[in-house]
Amino acid sequence: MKRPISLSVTLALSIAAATAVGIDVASGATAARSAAAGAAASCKNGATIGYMGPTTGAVASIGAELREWPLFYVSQWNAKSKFKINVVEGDDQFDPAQASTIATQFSSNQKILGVLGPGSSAEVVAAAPLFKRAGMSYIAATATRASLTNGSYGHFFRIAPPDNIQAVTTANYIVTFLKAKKVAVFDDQSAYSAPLATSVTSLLQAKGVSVTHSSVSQNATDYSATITNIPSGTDLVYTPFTNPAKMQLFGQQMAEQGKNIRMFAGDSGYSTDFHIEGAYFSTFAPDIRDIRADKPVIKAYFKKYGAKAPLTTYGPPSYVAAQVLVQSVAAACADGTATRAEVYRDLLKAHLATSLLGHPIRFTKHGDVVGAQFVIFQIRNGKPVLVKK
Amino acid sequence: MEDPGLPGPEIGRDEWVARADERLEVETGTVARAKRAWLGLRPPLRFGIVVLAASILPGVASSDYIVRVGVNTIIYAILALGLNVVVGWAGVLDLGYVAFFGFGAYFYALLSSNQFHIHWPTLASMPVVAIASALLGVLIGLPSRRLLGDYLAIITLFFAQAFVTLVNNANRITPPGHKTAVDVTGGPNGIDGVDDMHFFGLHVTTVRGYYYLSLILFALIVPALYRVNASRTGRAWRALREDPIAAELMGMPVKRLKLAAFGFGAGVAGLTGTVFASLQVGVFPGNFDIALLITIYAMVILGGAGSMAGVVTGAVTINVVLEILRTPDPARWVFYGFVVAALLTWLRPYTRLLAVIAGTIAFGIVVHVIVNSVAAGAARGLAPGGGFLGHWVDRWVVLLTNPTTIGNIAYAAMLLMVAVLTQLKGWWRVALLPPTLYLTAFVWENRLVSNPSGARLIILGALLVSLMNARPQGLFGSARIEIA
Amino acid sequence: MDWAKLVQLTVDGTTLGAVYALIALGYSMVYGILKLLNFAHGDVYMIGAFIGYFIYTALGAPLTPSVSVVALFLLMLGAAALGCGLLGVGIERFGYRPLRNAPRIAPLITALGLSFLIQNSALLAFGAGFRNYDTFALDNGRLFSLGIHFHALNVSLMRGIVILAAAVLMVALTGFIRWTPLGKASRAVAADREAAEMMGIDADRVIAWIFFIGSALAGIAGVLFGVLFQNVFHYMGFVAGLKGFTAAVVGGIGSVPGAMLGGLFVGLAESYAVGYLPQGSTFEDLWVFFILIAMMLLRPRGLFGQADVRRA
Repeated sequence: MKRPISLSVTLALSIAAATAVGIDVASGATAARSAAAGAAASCKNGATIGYMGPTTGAVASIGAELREWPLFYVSQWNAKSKFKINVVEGDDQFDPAQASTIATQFSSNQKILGVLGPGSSAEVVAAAPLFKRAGMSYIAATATRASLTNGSYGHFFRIAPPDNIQAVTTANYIVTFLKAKKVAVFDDQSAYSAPLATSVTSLLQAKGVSVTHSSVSQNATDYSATITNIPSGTDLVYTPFTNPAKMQLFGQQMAEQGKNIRMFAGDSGYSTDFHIEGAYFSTFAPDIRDIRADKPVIKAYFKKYGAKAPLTTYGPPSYVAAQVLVQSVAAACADGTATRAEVYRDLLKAHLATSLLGHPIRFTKHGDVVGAQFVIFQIRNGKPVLVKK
Repeated sequence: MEDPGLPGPEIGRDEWVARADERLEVETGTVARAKRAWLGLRPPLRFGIVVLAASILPGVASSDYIVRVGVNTIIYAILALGLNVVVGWAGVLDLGYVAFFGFGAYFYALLSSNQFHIHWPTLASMPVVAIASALLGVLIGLPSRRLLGDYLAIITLFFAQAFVTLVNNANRITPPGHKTAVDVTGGPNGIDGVDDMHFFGLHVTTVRGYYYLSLILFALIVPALYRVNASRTGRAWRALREDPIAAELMGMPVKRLKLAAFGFGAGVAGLTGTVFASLQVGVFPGNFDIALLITIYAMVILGGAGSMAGVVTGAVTINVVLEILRTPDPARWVFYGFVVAALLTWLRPYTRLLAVIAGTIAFGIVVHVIVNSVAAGAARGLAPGGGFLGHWVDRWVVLLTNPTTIGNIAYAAMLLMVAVLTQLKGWWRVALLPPTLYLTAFVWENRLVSNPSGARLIILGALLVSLMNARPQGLFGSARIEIA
Repeated sequence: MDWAKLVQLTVDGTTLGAVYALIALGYSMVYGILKLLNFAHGDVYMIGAFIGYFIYTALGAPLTPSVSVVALFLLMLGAAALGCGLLGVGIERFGYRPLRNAPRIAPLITALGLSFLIQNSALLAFGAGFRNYDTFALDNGRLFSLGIHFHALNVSLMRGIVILAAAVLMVALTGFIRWTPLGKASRAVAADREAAEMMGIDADRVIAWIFFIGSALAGIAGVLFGVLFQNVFHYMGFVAGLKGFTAAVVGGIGSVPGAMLGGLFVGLAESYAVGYLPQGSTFEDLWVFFILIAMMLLRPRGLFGQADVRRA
């Protein structure tokens, strides 16, 4: 017969552990301070940076593009420079808990001086406390949630403009150019879609447009019933879903029910899955294939990764992020050693006169790119065409 | 360890009678002696040794990452212990368990963050959250009173889905009487900026601090569970698990017992949620999905439902393996090591084992040579991650440059062959083992090793299926007698 | 009273319900015969949708199909039915048969594991991206532009096809159960397996056939879903499976006509809830949950089910 554990043993163990906690907490404060930013890495011939993103998991197709472009840049840099950059990769699988663990992993690796990523806003929020504690600078290519640059996320930078700018650009375009008077807004309850839809709704309402705002479930596969709820007389439907295939279905089912209303999407609209004729979408980067200066880079990229390698709107910002980080790390390492604090300082000073995205890159003190704008495309003959810079 | 010479426990057969002979003989050998010595110690002492050993980890760990893995492991272990109460002891299949974990995390976040600007001291919020979770568990269990286990399983699964949906949308709720919407759960963005846990003014901020905190929690929960198991309620649960009808005939309040199990498990899960929320400094709806549920189930089933030591072992094993799977090179060692270990356990005598291993290597070399001479362009891939083992793998496994399509076909073929192998006996099985092993290595190298998230989930699913078929009692559980 | 909207919602709900009913049939039949909830059923449905998709694209659809539309559909449905039927038989043979005499929990957990395994194998093999049938582009969109288009009421040909196909299958299945020897044998095995075996019925064979038929129906449901709702992805089986299960329970699990009516009920209820309730589309996932809970509390045996002797 097993006897239950005696109380004294449990007490003894708990006291022992509590003492350990006490010692740790006391030393933890000092340890944290010294681990952060202070430790210098020797980097005469090269340095290490981290990359984290949703390489596998639910958004693996975007993750592949987010990953290949910065690695491509690093390979180009390493081919031309004696200062070699080594990339440590982490796959957060589009899961905040994984992002948290990988952030711990990167932070405790003293060689890593800066991080590219994470890919989306939820992962940024999860990784932020750890990077903040470690003094690590991290540049996300496409995390667009507006609040991330309010100063409480550590040394966070991003290339894509924040969603509040997307909301303003979208609302202005809808009112000024599309002259819509009655708009139906649908979000898909995702972290990207919901705040954007809410912002656009209130901006439109402020300009006197009549707006109905509802959401669809992330598991919804049939929008017919939802579409019956679109009030008659609606002349624009705004659907900033994260999944272009679902927007495509939405548009097709609207047509099936005889509602030929103009569609406006968010930046997931830049995808072969979405090809509703005449639909508009806003995105954070122009099609770099239209920028003449980028042609040699694009050619080299396809040569390396094959003609089917992904190039939509996620790759170029990721490339630019790598560009900025690598150059800042190289600048910090000019004297042979660098700390994470030095890299942060150099990032704040970073200035690219031109970039793959067609505009210069310089950061505000909170981490946004100065003057970044959203652009608007329309799908004509199945292909997106830039209609507003 | 099971001796493959004797027939293993078969479902539907009387386990106790079948193993009578085993009980009579005394096992010899170092492993058996170590096992006897270990089991000879009193449980409290065994537990104390385990906890002491665990508390050394932060001291010897070379990086915070390892400690972080340790914290995750302890959290999973406690979760698995809670699920063990529901599934292992009471025999109730609760597929909504992660929702209680999520509820605990969110409730703690609401009480200790800037969401509502409430910052309760941890000593107040933790018990409140635990009790609230337990009550929620009882509430969810209420409709189940009349239901068969199967229906209960689906209802709890639905509840888990409903929880995620609710939490995802509870950022625009307009309570009656208010004009504007209230943001309760942060919606898809979750709640961030959750307070650190603090006790009597001491703040737990570092990963190592959280390690010790969760270890203390573990050290407190295990004895409590032990007492519950030994109590009347624990015995009643065991009776309920074995045969609900007989239990009812004996006058046990079956419905109340089920509710108690639900509530208990939910309370443990909620309590763990608080630690998780403050560790991650935030909670997100995506934290509490089906993948987590399956992971915890795999831990419980692997360790042995009903056995606390087993469940903890399962948690440690699975979490460590999943972490190792993140990087290709260590993952490779674990994979091949596991295959060899499995062969060692199940393939006797040693001559047969050696024949199979030699056969597999030979088969592989032959295939590699053939493919290289016939279609060299197709097989120019490199083992991801490189390393010592990768070097040998390059020479042995055919690594395609475009692994996708053929890899998928090979994957399906591998599943088929494994299924067929379980039905074969004798020489046929031995003969087909080398090609199957090579095919498995092929699929692993070409498709799985560089895809940790996919591989992790597939392994968990396969683990559940194969455990239930081959060894439902897991590592340390006791095989159950079922009168068919 | 917006009649057009009501009729539209009814038609939409019926098409949804047809798909759910086909899935529910598989659940019901397997439960009736084995008292087992086959969680993996929803994922068999998903595989069927993928099989249909691959045949569809292999034959050049939607832009340049090499066979006529009718032939294309028949080939897709046939391939999905066959493939999923075999998959179902395999699942039964290797997953469930060894556990015939095991405690109830064992096959449930195996089913859960199988469901997860199939889902993630599909994720690994096919990737996370959505595959789109795009039948809107097939035959110049005639499948959708033909049909009834009367003011605000729009019922496309495709919906009609789906409803018709499902109805034909359900009639065939009812006839099968009632009149063929195998159908009668399956009813016998469902009623009392040991007695049926004593009467000379090979229960294993009957069970295998039931799995085949149920899974084939799920595969067909997958293709029908694909041609109507376009998007095919690895996760679709999970939610559809839950709704199919609800349909089976609402109709009375174990009862074939119950599954059909249950499917219709769930499809319509979902459609009306989204169409009429405020924020209906936001909480779309939950309406089915509430229906299930309500049914469990008020009438656990469903509309046509038999009261089960075992309660707790």
